[in-house]
Amino acid sequence: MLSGRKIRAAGFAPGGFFFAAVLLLAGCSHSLGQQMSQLRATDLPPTAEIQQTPFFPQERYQCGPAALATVLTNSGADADSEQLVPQVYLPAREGSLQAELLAATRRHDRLPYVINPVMKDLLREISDDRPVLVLQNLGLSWYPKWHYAVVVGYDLNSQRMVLRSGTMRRKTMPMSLFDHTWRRSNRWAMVVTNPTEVPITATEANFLMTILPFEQARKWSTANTAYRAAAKRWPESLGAAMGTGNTYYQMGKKADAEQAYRVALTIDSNHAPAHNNLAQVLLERHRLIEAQEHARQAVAIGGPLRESYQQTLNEIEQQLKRR
Amino acid sequence: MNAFRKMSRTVSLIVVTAFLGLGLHLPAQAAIVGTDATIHANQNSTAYDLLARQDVRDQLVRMGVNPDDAMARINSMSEQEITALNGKLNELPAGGDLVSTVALIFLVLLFTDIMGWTDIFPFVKGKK
Repeated sequence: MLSGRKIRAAGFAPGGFFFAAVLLLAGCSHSLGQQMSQLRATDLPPTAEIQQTPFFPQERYQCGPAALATVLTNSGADADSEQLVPQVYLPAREGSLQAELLAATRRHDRLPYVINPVMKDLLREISDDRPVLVLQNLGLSWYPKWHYAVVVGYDLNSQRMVLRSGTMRRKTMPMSLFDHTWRRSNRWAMVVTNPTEVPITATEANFLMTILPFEQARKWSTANTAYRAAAKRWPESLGAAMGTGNTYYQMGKKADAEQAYRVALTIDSNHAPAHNNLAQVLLERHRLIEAQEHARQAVAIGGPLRESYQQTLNEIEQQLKRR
Repeated sequence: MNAFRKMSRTVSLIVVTAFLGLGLHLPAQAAIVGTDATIHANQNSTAYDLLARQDVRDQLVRMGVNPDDAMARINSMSEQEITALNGKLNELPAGGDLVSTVALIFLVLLFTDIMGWTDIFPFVKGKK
């Protein structure tokens, strides 16, 4: 079980640091300029626009369903804004909350990945043909006017952003104005991907965090697909290997689970949970001697879950006695 | 109504505890270590409030969501999301775009008060 606090720490600490750094640099007025010179130095294409991004014009108050339908449909999910209203719209607030957009994305078996809160990553996703759903505050910090829109293009030369926003299919706005409205939401933005894909700006830790809720919801197959995609992207990822094994185990595919735990042990031969889980799978596959060996190693390595490992070992030894 | 809510909370607590208790006596069926424990070596995570899910569902219903929809909505939320939402549905940013009519009227009247064209709010000293 992991706490919300840890997730926050992982997800927002870089954002907070960036935000503080921006404040330290020359007030706020030059923040984007600073970023822009960095952007030119990177290998980002100077312009990009995902023309084929669908458009769902917003009904009254309902930019949440409209923006979400845009990114979901773009990822190949079957969704429209009207169908999403009962999933994300909160009548008393006349709007939609961020957490509900994440949850509704998962209901469509898509991954909601919250990107790093920096302009560079937003543009990088666009240049990789992935529209980005953003939360903007079009008003002031003390009189907020929260709004969801989808960024579909940019032009570094003319310094403009292209958005699907409200009732406008192709709204363009100066990058600096966009950044002012985006900054007031702490630059919150997400991309939606099919579980077979990993967003180009994704980090290993954050991507694995994005998969965990599928496990909590017992959507083993979707989680499994995503863990395997993560393992392909980060072959050295212990979390991806363990996740792959655990989801295979839950799906009843024990041979595949065994294989994944063995991969985890090639990444870290001293990973007690991998030894324990492998022991459990081997036990269930009636290979008791091998199982005992791995359970012993798990117990020897120990750690906070040592008691569980001991339990696995006890069970194996009981079965060995019964033979 | 309030007494009923309290009672239903107590009943759910008993049911949840009973289920948890049962789990302890089951044979080591789920003996694999979960992925979250793997990703976070640290096991000292704060206990997740098992009733928070029900609370958030009730809050959604009170804020106008159809009860069945509210159930489906909380079911696809993670424990962290539930914890973050609980009791904060009124504060968190809600993207909706249009300025609410009441707020708009307030702002207009505030402006006209400040300009000295109206005198609605006693705390505003408008232009003479």
